[in-house]
Amino acid sequence: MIAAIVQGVLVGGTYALVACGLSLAFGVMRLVNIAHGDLAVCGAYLALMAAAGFGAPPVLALVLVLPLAFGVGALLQLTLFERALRGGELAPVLVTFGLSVVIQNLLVTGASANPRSLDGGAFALAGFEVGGLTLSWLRTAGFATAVVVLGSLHLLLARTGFGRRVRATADDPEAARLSGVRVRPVFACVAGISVATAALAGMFLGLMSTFDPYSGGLILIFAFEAVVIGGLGSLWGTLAGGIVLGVTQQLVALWDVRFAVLAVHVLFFGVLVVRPVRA
Amino acid sequence: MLELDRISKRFGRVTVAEELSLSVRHGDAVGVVGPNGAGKTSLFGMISGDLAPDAGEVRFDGRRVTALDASVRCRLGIGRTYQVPRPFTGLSVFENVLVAAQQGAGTRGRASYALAAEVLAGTGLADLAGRPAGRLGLLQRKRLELARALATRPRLLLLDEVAGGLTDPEVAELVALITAARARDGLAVIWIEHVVRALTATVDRLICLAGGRVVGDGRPLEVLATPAVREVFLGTEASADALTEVERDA
Amino acid sequence: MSTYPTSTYPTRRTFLGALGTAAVAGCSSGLRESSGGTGRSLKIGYVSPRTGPLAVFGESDDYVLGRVRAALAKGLSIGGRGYPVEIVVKDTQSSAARAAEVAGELIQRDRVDIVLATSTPDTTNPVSDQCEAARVPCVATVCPWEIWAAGRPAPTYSYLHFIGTEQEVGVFAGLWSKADTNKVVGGLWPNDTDGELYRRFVTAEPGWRVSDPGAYEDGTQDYTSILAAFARDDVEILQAAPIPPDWVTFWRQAAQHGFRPKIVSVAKAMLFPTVAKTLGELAEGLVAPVWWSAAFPYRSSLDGTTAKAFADGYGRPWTPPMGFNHALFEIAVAAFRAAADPKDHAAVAAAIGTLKGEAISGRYDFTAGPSKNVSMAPDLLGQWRRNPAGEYDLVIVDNTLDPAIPLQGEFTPLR
Ligand SMILES: Nc1ncnc2c1ncn2[C@@H]1O[C@H](COP(=O)(O)OP(=O)(O)OP(=O)(O)O)[C@@H](O)[C@H]1O
Ligand SMILES: [Mg+2]
Repeated sequence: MIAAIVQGVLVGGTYALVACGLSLAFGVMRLVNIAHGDLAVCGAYLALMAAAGFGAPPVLALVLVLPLAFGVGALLQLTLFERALRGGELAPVLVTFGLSVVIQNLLVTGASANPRSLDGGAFALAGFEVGGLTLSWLRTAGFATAVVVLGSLHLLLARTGFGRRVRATADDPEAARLSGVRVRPVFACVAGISVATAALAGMFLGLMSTFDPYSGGLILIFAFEAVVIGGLGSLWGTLAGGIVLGVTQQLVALWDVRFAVLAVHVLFFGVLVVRPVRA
Repeated sequence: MLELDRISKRFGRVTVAEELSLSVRHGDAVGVVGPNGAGKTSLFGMISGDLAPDAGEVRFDGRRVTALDASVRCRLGIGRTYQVPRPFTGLSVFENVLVAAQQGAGTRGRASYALAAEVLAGTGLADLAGRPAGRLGLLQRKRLELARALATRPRLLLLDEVAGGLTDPEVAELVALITAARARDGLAVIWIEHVVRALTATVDRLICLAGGRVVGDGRPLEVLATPAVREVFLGTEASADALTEVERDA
Repeated sequence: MSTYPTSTYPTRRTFLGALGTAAVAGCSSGLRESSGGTGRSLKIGYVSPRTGPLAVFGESDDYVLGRVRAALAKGLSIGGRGYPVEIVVKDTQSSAARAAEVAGELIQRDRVDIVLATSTPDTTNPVSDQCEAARVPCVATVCPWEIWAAGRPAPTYSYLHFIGTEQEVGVFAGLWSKADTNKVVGGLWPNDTDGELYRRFVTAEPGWRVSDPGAYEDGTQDYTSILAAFARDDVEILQAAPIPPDWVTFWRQAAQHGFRPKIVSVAKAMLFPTVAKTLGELAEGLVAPVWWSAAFPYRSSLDGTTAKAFADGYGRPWTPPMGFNHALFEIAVAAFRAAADPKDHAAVAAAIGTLKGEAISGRYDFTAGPSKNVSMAPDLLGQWRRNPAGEYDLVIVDNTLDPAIPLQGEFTPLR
C-alpha cells in the first residue's frame, strides 16, 4: 500500500513534467496544444540525434536540445499559434491538431516507425532501497526534475519582472499592451518554455520507455488529464494532478492491474463532470 | 500633439466614427460628451491602439501611429484608462503599477519601484499596495486604473468615465487627482464623462460626439448651448438633467 | 495574355482535370484488357500496415515488393498463356476499419484476382472478411491462426499460413523444462486477444504454477505492482507478450527493481532486431519465437533466392515478417498455377486449399491444418545474443518443430 503510493507519486512526477508545459500554454495564452505530446517526442528524437551525432549522453544532450526546443516553441508561437489564437475558440485546436499530424508524418519519413529509446547507461537501470522499498533512480530523478522545473517556473512567474509581464498578459492581454507590455515576445517566450519542458519530459520518457512517431497521442492524453484534474492553468495544481493520476493508477493496480489505466480515465471523466471546464 | 485625420469605423451597421477629424495640443484638457453608443470609447480605442480604424489616420507628435501596436503607442506617451476597470486581477496593486512603470515608462530597477510607489501615493493607494487587485472595490479599481495609466508616464492621458458610478465626494477626489497630475506633469488630457459637471470644472474645451461625428467643439458652455448639442442631449433624460445642473452652476 | 482566349488557356485546374481523365481512361482500358483477350493480366492486392503504430511490421514492404516485382517482371506463363502480373499495394494505417476499407477498394475498384493480407489480426481478419463476402481469394499471414479462425464463419475464400499460439506455448514449455527452476511462470499479458491466448494456453500447460497479476493495458508506464506480484510469487520464468514499447519499459523497470528470472521468453516484442538494439545489454539472453530468420535453409519458389541472400539484400537488420510476406506472393503464384483458370476466383480459392509446398519461409500445407483453410508454420525458439560486432542476433536454440533448420547455439538460462 505504502509502496504503491510512493511509486504512484514518482510516476505522477513524470506526468506532471509532461503536463506543465501544456498547463503553462493554456494558462497564459489559452492555447490548447494538441501537438504537445508530439513535441515531447520530437525532444526525445533530438536527444537521440545528439547522442548519435556527438556521442553525447542524454544529460549533455539537454544543453543542445533545450535551447533548440525553446527556439522552436517561440517560432511556432510567432508563426502559427498567434494567428490561430486570433481565429476563435476552435482554431487553435484545429491548427495544433494539424501540427501534430505533420510532426508525426515528418518523424515517420525522417526516422521510420521503429520504436526508439534513449540509453541512460547504468544509472537508468539502477535502483535503490529505502525503508524496504526498491525505487528506481530514473523515476526518482524524473520526479525531482518535475518538482525543480515546476518550482523554477513558479519562482520565475512569481518573482521576476518577466513573470509579472506574463501574469499581466495572461490576465488581460489588451490591458497589458496598454501598460506598455510587448505581448508578442512574452507569448513567444512562454511558448518556448512550454516546448522546452515538453522536450525535457520527452527525454525522460525516452529513457524510461520507447517512443515512436506516434507516441505523442498517449503522452498528450495523460498530460491533459493531469492538467484538468489539477485545475486548468495552475502549475502546482498540475503537479497535484499528475500525482493523483499516478497514485490512483498504482492503488487500483494493487486490486486489479486491468483497471489501472481505465481508473485514471474514469477519474478524469468524473472531474470533468463535477467541475466542468470553463474557457 | 494628437491628430485624427478623417478616421472611420463601423461595426456592422453601427457607425462609431465617420470621417472624424480632431486635433489636441500639448497641455490641452479636452472633455468629450455624447449619448450612449456615440462612439466615445471606440474613439479612445483607435487612439490607444486597441482598435484599428477602417479608414483614416492617427498621428501622434506628427508621427503616423495608425498601424502601431498599443504597447508601442503607450511607450510613445499615450496612456489610457478603461471605462470598466480592467486591473490584472492576479497581481497585487503594486505589481499592477510596477508593470506599467517598467514597460510603459521604461524605468528599471530602483527607479521603477520609486515611480510605482510615487504614483500609488499620488492616487491614494499606498496602503493597499500589497493587496491582490482582484479584491478591490469600485473606487479603488478606478484609482488603480488611473494609477496604472499615470505610471506609464504619459504625455497624453485618455480618461474614460473615471467618475462614472462614484459618489460626489469620490468624484471630487478623483478630479483633484487629475488636476494635480496635470499641474505637475503638464500632460494633455482627453476625458470622456457623462457627469458633465465634473468635466466643465476641469476642461477648457468640450467636444460632443453623436453617431460617430463631432457635433460640437469649443468652450464648454458655448458647446452645451448649441442647438445641435442640445438636441442630442435632450434625447436622454439623465443627460438633460445634467445639462440644467451645469447651467444652474454657471 | 489577353491575346489568348481564356477558354484555351490551360489553367491549373483544367490541367489537373485532364490528368484525371487520362488516369481514368488508363484504368478502364486496363479493365477491358483484363476481362477478355490474350493480354489479360493478373492483379494481386497487398494489404499491410505501413504507417501507424504497427508500421514496424510493414517496414520491409518496399524491399519485399521490389524483390517480388523483379521476380515476376516477365509475368507468369500458365497453361501456355502469358499473364503480366500487377501488384496493387494498400496501407491500413494500422487501423482495422481502414484495412476493411482498402480491401473493399482492391476488390471493387482495382478488381484484383487475389488479396494478400499481413501483420496482426487488425489487418488479416477484416481483409479476410471482406474477401469472403466478395468471393475473392485471400491469403493472410502474421496472425496466430487461433485468432484468425476464432469468431468467424468457416472460411471458403480466405486462407491463413502462420504459426499458432498453443503450439508456441508448447515449444516454450519444452524449453523451460530444460532449466532447473521452481516451475513458477509469471505472465505479463496485456489486455488484448494475444495476451488472452497466452494466458489460456500457459495456464492449461500441465506442470507449471502461474503467477498472473492480471491483464494490463497497452501503454502502461509503470509496472511496479506487477513486479511486486512476481517477486512475491518468486517467479523464475517469465512469459510475456507485450507490444515493443511496453516491453522496453517493463524490462528496464525490472532491472531497476532487481527482478531477474532464470528464463525470460517474450513473444511479439522481441521479434524485432530494433527492439533488441534499443534494449542493448538488457536484450542478452532473452528468448523469442523464431518464425523466420535469415538462417532458414529455404529458397524463394519464384526465383530461387536463399533466405540468407534475401535478408542480406535488405541492407538493414532483417525482420521476421519479411519471410512470411514474401511467402504470400509465392503461395498466390502457386495458386494461380494450380487453378484451371487463374482469373476464376472460385477456382483459385479452391486451388489454395490443395497447396503443399515450400516457400522462402519454409513449408506450407493447406491440406492438413489444425483448422479449415489454415496452414500451420513451425515455430522455433531463439535467444538474443551479442555478436562480436556488438550487435544482437537471434540465435536459434530450439528446432523441435522443424529439425531441418539447423540449431545455432545452446540455450542458456539467465542465471
Ligand atoms: N467590438 C465591438 N463589436 C461590435 N460593436 C461594438 C464593439 N464595440 C463597440 N460596439 C458598438 O459601437 C457603438 C459605440 O460603442 P462605444 O463603446 O464606442 O460607445 P460609447 O460612446 O463609449 O458609449 P457609452 O457612453 O455607453 O460608453 C455601440 O453601439 C457599441 O455597441
Ligand atoms: Mg464608452
